[in-house]
Parts: sequence; C-alpha cells; structure tokens
Amino acid sequence: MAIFNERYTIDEMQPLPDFDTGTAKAYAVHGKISSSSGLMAYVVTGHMPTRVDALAGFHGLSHSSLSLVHEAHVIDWPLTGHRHMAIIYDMIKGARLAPLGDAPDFIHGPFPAIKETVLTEELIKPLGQAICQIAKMGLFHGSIRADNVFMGDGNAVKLGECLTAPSAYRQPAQYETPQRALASDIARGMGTSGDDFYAFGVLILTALMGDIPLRGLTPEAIVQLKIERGSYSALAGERRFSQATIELLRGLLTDDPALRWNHEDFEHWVAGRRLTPRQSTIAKKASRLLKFGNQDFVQLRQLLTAMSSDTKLAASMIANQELARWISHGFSDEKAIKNLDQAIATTRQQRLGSEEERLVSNVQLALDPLAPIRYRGISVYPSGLPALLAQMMLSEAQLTTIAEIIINRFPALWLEYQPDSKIGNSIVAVQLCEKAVDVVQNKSLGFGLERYMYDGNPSLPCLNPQIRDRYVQTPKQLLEAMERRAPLGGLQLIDRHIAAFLMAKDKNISLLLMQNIDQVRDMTRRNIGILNLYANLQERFGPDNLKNLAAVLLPLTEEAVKRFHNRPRQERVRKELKAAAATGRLSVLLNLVDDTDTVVLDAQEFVAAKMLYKEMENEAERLGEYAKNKKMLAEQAGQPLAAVISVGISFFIMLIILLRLFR
Amino acid sequence: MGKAPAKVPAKSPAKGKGAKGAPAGGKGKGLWVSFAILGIGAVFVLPATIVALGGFIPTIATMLTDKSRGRSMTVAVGSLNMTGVAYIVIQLFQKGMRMDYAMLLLQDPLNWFIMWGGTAIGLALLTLIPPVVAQVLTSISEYKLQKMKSNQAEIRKIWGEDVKG
Repeated sequence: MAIFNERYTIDEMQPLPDFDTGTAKAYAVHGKISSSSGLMAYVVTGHMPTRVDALAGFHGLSHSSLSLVHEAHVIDWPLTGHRHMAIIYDMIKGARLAPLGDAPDFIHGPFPAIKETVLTEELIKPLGQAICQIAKMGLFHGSIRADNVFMGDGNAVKLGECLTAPSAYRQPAQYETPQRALASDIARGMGTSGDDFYAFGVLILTALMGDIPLRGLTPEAIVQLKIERGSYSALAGERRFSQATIELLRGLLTDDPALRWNHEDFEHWVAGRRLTPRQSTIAKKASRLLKFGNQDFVQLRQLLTAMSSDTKLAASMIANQELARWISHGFSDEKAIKNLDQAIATTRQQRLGSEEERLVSNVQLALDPLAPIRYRGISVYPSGLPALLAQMMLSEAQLTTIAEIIINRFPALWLEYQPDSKIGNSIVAVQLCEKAVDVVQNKSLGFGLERYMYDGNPSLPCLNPQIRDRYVQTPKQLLEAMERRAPLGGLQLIDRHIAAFLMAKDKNISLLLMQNIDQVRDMTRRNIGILNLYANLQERFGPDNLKNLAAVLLPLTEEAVKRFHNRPRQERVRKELKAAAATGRLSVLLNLVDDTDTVVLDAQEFVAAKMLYKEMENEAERLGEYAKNKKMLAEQAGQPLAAVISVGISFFIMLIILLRLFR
Repeated sequence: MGKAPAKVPAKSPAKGKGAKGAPAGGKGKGLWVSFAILGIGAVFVLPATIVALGGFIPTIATMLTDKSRGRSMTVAVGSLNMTGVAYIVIQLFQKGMRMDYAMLLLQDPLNWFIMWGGTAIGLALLTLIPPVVAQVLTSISEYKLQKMKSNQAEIRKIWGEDVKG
C-alpha cells in the first residue's frame, strides 16, 4: 500500500489495467475522502514531465463526462521501491471506446463502430459539452482520442485523463491538425481549444468508422494527405454521413484555425441552429509544377514539408531563386516573397550550425508559420521544446540541435510569423526560449540546457542518475533523496542536473555560490561552496538531521580545515566537525570551517608567527657566527676584561704601597 | 659586530671625537697628559724621570704596537708597570731625590724586576683571560642557540613548515 498525502491509500495489489495509459498505470484507491464512483490513481511509470501544473485548472471542472481529478503527489511505490508521481482521479466506470494500441496509431482496431443515429446522444453531445467546458476555462486537454474515451452503462461517456504525460503525447498524427502533426508527439507543446475540437472531430470519425482513419500510414503521409485534400476529406474519404454530422465534422476539422469551430459554434450546433457548412480549405495550388527530388509539387506547404527530407537540395533551390520564382509566378503571393527574403536575411545573421539547415528551417518558418520549427530532423513547437529536451536527456541523445534551435532564436522567429490568434498561447514559451539564449550559452554550473529544461518543465523531477528514482521535485526532496542515497557510497554531491534543478527551483541560491562550486582550481572554495549549498538548503527546507549526507560532506571539509595554519586548531576543528557530522546539522559543519573571524585570526596569528620565526632565524644565525669566532670574542671581551683586572690589581698594590708609606 | 669598531679609527684616525673612537682618543689623550706631567717632572725631578723612563719602556713599547680595541693591552700592561715604577720612584723620593741614588737604584736588577715584573703580570693576564672569556661566551651562545632552535621547532610544530616563509 502506498500512502498518498496521508489521505489516500493506493492499493498496488489492485491494478486496473483497463485504464492504464501509455505513461501511467492505474490502481484502486482507498481513502478518507471518497466519491460516489470511488477513486483510482494513475501512477506515472517514467520520468517524463507530467502536466500536474495544470491540475488546479482541471480540478475546478465539473462535468459528468470528465474524470474529476483530485490531487497529485509523489509517492513511495512498493512495486518498484522507487518514488513515482501519482494522480488521483474519480474512478472511471466503463470500457474504452477503442483499445489502446502501439505507435504510430496508438489505437488498436478495428472495434465496434457506433451508429450515427445514436452517436450524437451517446457521445457527441456529452463529450462535446465537456470539451466546451474545458475550452471555456482556457484549458487544453490534448489527449482527446478514442482510446481515452470510456463508454459506461446508461450512455455515460467519460473523457480520460490528460495529466500523466506532456501535452498531446501519444496522440496519433490523425488526431492532430496538419501543422501540429508535423511535430513529434513529445514536442507538440501546449495546444489551443481549437486543437482539442479538431481532435474531437477525429474522435467522432473514429467512432463512426470503428477504426482510426488512415490506419497504417506514416505521420508524414497523413500530413501530406491532409495538406493535399484538407483534413476532412483526407480523414473521412468517401464515407457518407448525415448532413448534420458532415456540418459538425467539417466545422471541427477545418484546417484554418481561425475558421475552425469553437465551443460557441458547437453549442449552436447542439441547439439545432444550422450553420453554413465549412468547405475544406485546401491550400492554394501553383499554376505550374515544381520538381523537388523525384516528386512534383503544386502546393507550397507540401513542398516545404518535403524539404526537410533533403535540406541540401532545398537550400540550393532557395539559393538559386528557383523557389522565389515559383512562388512569384505560381501564387503571386507578395507576402510570401517578402517572408522568403526575410528568412534568407535572417539566416545570414545566425551563426550556429549548418547554413543550409538554417536556411531551410527559416524558409519553412516564414512560409508555413503554423507549422512547428523544423531543424535538422527535429520538429518542435516552442512550448514543446522543454519536454522534447527532457526526453532527449533521458535517452542520452545528442543535444546540439536543441542548443542550436535556441541560440539561433528559432522560437522567436517562429512567433514573429504567427498570426495574432496564435500568439497568446505561445508567448510565455517563446519568452522562456529567449531567456534561454544566454542561459544555454552559459556553460557554468547551474546553466546550460539543463537549466532551460528545468525552467521549462516545472513538473520534471531531477534527472541526476543517482536520485532519479526518488522523483525529486523540490529542494527538500533532493535533500531527502541524497540522505537516502548517501550510505550506498560514491555519492556525487553536485552535477549539472542538481545545480540546474536547484537554480530553477530555488531563487535564493546565489550565483556566486554556484560560481564557487563550479571552479576547479581552488578545491577549498569548491568544497566549502558545496557544504554551504547543502547547509543552506537544510536550514530552509529541513530535515534537521542529515547524518548520512553529513558523513559524505565531512571529508570535503578537510581542505577547508587545512586552511587553518595552526595545527592544534586544525585538530580541534576536526574533532568538532566529527561531532557535528554525527548530529546531522550541516550548518554546524559549515560554521566550523567557514568562520570568518577564526580564519582571519588564524591568518593574523600565522603572519605574526612567521615574523617571530624569521627573527629567531636571524638571531640564531648571529649566535652561530658569534659562537664560531672565538678569536674575536677573546679580543672584544677577553682583552678589555684583562685590562680591567690589571687595573684592579694595580689599584690594590698601590693602595698597599701607600698604606705602608704613610703608616 | 666586531668589525665596526676596528674600522672606525682606521677610516678616520684624525677624528678622535668620533662616536666609537672617542674612548680610545680619550685614553690616548690621558697618556699624553701623563707624558706632559712627566716632562715637567723631568725638569724638577730629573732623577725620578730617569728612573721612570727606564721603568716605562715596556709600556711605551706596548703602546706603540697596541692595536687592540680601546688599547686594552696598553692599559693592562701599563697599569701594573706603573705600579712597579711607582714603588721605585717612591723609594727615590724617600732618599731625597738624588741623582746618585737614582743611578744606584737603576743598577739593582731587583728594581728592574719590580718595575718590569708588573708588565709580565699584565701580559700574563692578557694571555690567559681572553681565551677563558671566549670559551665562556661561546658556551653561552651555544646554549642560547640550542634554546632558539628548540623554540623554532615548537613553532613549526604548531604552524607547520610554511611558517619558515
């Protein structure tokens, strides 16, 4: 049993595999606080960022078709012996609309389709209203798909959880807009309510068809199809539906985000108001074909998507003005030509990475603004960059491409080209990327890509390999994890992950302290810095007793003890340090080795001792010389003494003579 | 330490009033005063002068060859020589300061022994005392040196080898 926040008990012996997600496993929950339907917990299995930061928003939602989320907490999980993020939800009653599957479709099929005649009442209305409520709260679900919808008894449909993984993670390309589908699932970032409504449209199609549309196609092929035919035509194909359903699907699957249905449109449709059916908005076609590789293109976005497959060829096509001529003659789009020129000019200003790659990426940004940043095989939205980076860190992938994306300021360029309607959602993410330009270039401890990763993923645990399994999310948990890990030996007290994690989570950690820890020449400064860091954390976050950590930190104080020149003082401090380590109070350790008054006093006394020693040295030299030169001593001291004695004897004899004379 | 006093008179022999040359100059001056008194005596007490001249030959010889600090050799030899000479001159005064008695006194080897014997004692003191004094001072210095080294070792024990600078 895992105790959750002292209010719930998660029963590891009662798994609920029917509700497992790709990133979390479901278990029954017993607790003081219960709901009519009971409780269940999602125990997150990996270290990927979750969306628990959005929990407060979803907790405020109340709809019969939404699983009510209660709270999230890190728990000690008996099955693994590690710590995991657990999120408590109301128990879901029912079975998945479609079975959970593997990539790329993630939905196993075919499965029994729902008849159009009952779909509206059983699924569209309740689920659509739930999605409307999410939209009205300004939230983004991101996991609206057939395997995350549960059909209960009595037509009770429920939308599953969306907090155990990054936004839109494991969302099939079919469920994403043609632009968002270009990004890998981890890198899609925060979407809009429009993106949720688009996924809702695909969900309806999936339910009607009894299978995910375009099953088996690669995400790239799905995107090309959607661009070529428009999402509705690409996904629905030749299937026939009622006029009302077509109206709904066309509205939800409109590729232009400005024209796509929102919650008001949906509510109007539910109320029976017939809206003008949206026609598929197929991208413009050029008046002549352009050959790229072995393929001929008439649509700009299709060509731009294909360019990522051969950037060398694409770069030459841009450089020799072939693309510009095609756009000019084929589309007569002045704005596109202007954007193309701007992209070429921007490429010249950027410095990092291959110029060809940058050029193609800039042109793709300029001419297909709603698409993600596409650079050297990575396809990412600014708000998805932190999660992608976390995944790449976890898989120990090469990170230079991410650094180049940030340092070349692709996120800011991406934002520049966005229509106003898309800016609001991404501005924070782009601002973070802009701040990260300096952070990433700074190779000091506490900065770099790690810092950006922790700044951008508030829910990400510290990925230091030694404490990764402790799912550390706060400085206090870091101390507890280090204390627990310390007895095993070989504890690395600081690395780039711990430093960046702490700098991101605790604004009270000074830059100077990190600089002290970072420098390698003066081990005393570094070691005192590390001790200072942990003592500072313990003072502010506790716990009071960190005996194991103190035992690991104790050897680090040796260099600092050696700062004292006075040997008896060194011994005294060593004894006191040992005693302090046994109490587990790191600040006592720190005060013993970093007491400025004592250090200054010791230095002053040492200078005085040096001077005294020097004086003694000189005196000893003089005495040595003195003792060696006996002849000089005899002359300088012996002869005058002999003279004095002679005078004395003379005086004595003269006295006798005179006494005899006058007797 | 021992070189400076020897150099000062050598460098500025004329400056008898120099800081460290002053005592030597003062004593020299005293001797010349003594010689002046003897000169005057020579006029009034010629027999005593003749006796004294003969008696002071060792002192005069020593004074002319003495290079010791503060002319301590001259003082040592001269003071005892003067005692011997004074004894003989007093005998001459007691006999009325007659020239013939002075000659008689000079003819007696015992009187020469008395006058010059003091010189011998002075020379003996000059030979025996300095080595003894040197030995005593060397021992004292060595004792001090040992104590100093021991103190330095104690300082190194407390402050480490870095204290050597």
